[in-house]
Amino acid sequence: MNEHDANITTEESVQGIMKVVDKVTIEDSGKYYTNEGTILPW
Amino acid sequence: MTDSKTVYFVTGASRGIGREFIKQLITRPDSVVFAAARNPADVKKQYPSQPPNLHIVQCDVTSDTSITAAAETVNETVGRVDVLINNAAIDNNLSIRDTPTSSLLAVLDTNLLGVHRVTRAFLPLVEKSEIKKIINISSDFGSVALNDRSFWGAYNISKAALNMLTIQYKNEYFKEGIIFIPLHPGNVPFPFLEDGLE
Repeated sequence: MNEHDANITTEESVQGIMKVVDKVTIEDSGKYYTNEGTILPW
Repeated sequence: MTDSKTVYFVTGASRGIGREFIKQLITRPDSVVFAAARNPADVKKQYPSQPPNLHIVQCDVTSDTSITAAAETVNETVGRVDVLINNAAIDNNLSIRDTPTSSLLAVLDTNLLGVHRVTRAFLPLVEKSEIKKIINISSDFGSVALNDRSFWGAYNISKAALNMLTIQYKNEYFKEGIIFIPLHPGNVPFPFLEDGLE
């Protein structure tokens, strides 16, 4: 159970996350972002 | 003076992406970084010579007392938080059919209620910021739409609920200009699996 296939490093993840964090504005509030800046379905 | 600086507060800072957040954020120009962990010694040992812009604080997200103390430390040190990153999370490594109620409750206590506790306690500090960002580390495992493929019972439930918690905060604080983001970090190695914790 709880298998999980990692395909990126934590370093790459956080680099991507911080790009998203830096650019989001109030208009983006509540959007379900990924570390790549894409939006996920709920 | 911290007015020209950006103040980050990160929970779950001792391992996984929490540890990586600290590593990257302290290299940013003009950053002030609070690394919050249940066991601050786990963070301290990663920084034998502590960078001047790094503050390591005890913060157990299941304890209001601990969270309040951490918020007070931040208030006394810099007086605000620009970017709050709710990252602390656990998994029970069980299928839902094997998950006792007590175990589901424990996962929710950290992954859902922990974010609620920290957010409530830190909102007064975030309101003093001009940046006002609260980032809740979620997961695509919390997506109901995508969840025909994964079997992480309690963890997935906690992240789906965290998504809605984030939306409720977003709705209530939109006019105040506070930005709430539920964020999937990508398929990173899970620290729970690496170190066998919870």
